[in-house]
Amino acid sequence: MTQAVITGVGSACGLGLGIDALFDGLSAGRCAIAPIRNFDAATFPAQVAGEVPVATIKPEWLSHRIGAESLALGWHSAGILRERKVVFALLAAEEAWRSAGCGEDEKMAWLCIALGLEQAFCEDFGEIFDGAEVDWAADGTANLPSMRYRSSVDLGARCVTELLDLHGPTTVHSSACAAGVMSMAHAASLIERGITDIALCGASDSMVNPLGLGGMAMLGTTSPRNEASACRPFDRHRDGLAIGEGAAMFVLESEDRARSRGARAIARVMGYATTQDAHKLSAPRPDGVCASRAMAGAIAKAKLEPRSIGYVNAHGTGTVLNDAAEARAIRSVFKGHADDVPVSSIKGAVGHLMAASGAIEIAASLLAFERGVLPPTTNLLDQDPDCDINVIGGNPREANPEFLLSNSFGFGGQNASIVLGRTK
Amino acid sequence: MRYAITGWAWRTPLGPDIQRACARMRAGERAAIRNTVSSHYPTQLVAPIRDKPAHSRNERLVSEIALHAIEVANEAFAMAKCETGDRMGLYVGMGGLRAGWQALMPAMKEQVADATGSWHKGLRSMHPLWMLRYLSNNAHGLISAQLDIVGEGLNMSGPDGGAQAYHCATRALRLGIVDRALVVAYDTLLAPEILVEETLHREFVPGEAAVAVVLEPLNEHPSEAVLAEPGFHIESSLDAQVATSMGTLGAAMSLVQVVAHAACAGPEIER
Repeated sequence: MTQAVITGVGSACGLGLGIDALFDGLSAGRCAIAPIRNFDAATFPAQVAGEVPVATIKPEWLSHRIGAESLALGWHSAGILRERKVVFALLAAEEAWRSAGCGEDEKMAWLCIALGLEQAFCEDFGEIFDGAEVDWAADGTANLPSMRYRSSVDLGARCVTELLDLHGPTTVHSSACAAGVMSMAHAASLIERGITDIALCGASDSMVNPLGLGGMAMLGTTSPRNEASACRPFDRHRDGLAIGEGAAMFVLESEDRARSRGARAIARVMGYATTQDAHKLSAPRPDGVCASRAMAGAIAKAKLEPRSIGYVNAHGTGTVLNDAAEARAIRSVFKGHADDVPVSSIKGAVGHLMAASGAIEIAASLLAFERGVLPPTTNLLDQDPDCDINVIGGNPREANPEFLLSNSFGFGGQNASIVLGRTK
Repeated sequence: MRYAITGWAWRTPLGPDIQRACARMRAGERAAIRNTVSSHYPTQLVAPIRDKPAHSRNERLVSEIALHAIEVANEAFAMAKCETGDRMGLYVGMGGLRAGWQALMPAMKEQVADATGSWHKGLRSMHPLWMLRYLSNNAHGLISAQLDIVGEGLNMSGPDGGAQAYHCATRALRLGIVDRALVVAYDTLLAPEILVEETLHREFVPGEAAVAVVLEPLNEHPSEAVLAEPGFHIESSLDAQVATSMGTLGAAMSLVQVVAHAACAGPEIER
């Protein structure tokens, strides 16, 4: 069975545009959480987020970044450029495609993508509400700002397909925060079975808007701290997440294909697994049993022993329940080795990218292979004894693991873990 | 590998009884009715599910179409009489999120275009569970919890979300990742924004459906436990007949067609 390798990666997050910005930011221990600038969040319970440092997205700016002037103008006319998660997907996909050296021969690539779903902005409602209720039953022909009510779930995938002129099938994952890892696992599975020899995969999301932030705040998941240290994964004083936004995309291909065209393999996709908690929509199983089965399954598929794993990128949301459950799950998988395997979460630095969290965390994990650095757990000052694992603190750590594991555990109880390996 | 359907259920515009709905469909009956929501909508015909889902505590967490999905998942699972647990997978396809106007209206009516002060202008009055109603995999999570399905789980989206889910389920069975797969697809095109936007330039009748099947390897089951073998044994015109009779069913269409083909093929399975 052939193995999938990562030959291209692109990203956008609060630490900047491009994979180098992510690597540089994490290596320097930077934190991207800051007061929200995209809209007036001054009265919200949560007022900070990990925003991608791009304000209004103009077609000229986008075409300058990705070189698709006519497409950018068309997307602008259609209102698509206001959909930040679509733009982030385009930026990351273009970077991944370019960095992998893909061209005409790769256009049959299968696209596995996870896109955050519809989250409208208030300004889209202003036009028709204007201080009064709209009676849908009486006025079905209201002048709707069409796109933002229901930007279709595969809009980002369609735009990426247009940008890169891809000819292969598209698969859209929507398993909440686990979707990013699932998109890569799906792509790797297709390559391993010979259904395709190249795929573009990854995820993009943005919930930094009034409905997204408001909804998460009402649910009680966001930290009430309006400061850069709002999200404190595994810390004794953690009290919620900070929302982030962004994307990470990857080119995956068979080892043979990569070798034959001289593409540099950044990492190997060794194993992956998904499970379900079958517990609650918004809370993990406290015992972490199903999460640990996802980790164990991924390690087993990679034909490795837990002690072979040299780094775990945790889901680590900074919420009380999640971090404790994940720590238990990690300890149950690694047992005696749990004290040796370093663990970190990047959500203190970039926030929770929701559907894109798994993808950006895979990208961040590549820092270990590319620069010999393990990402820090930004804002971890006082580790919670209830999270009894070997958590890397606020400073990055030098290390060169052969294999690493990345976790994503989503709302709805969907768990996904993936094992990556260093290339020879 | 060949697969057996050992449990199935659906809610379609032609009713919840699979055999009866198929008979009505093959007799050329159409489920479309006049759109009574508004005469202003470009689409004058719609194909709704006539039955309401039973009252449940999940009403606060999911939409009506998702409640239908949960119901059919439970019925298909019960019919299959199979074991749950970590050797059972759950594969769900859904079309995409709908705005949920009834819930949003009170929070949005005082908003202004630039979102200034939007929290105090109404967002703070949103129901605490609104975000969960808006969650892409909320039905998935509730089905897995109710049926204790803890094996592989994938949630797919888009117009072909049901087909993607079905494809992932058969892959998982073929690779031995799971022994049994519950595949669920649901979608509604009967939302105001779709009735206004998507039917302007298209000629189809917006419909809605929820459908579920339990798939297991065919050769591992006594024939009396097998409802049908999914496949495309019937004339290809059946696919078109589904659309003509039931309307366009979005992400649920493919799985409804799978069930319709299997049901119309009858119970005889070559072993």
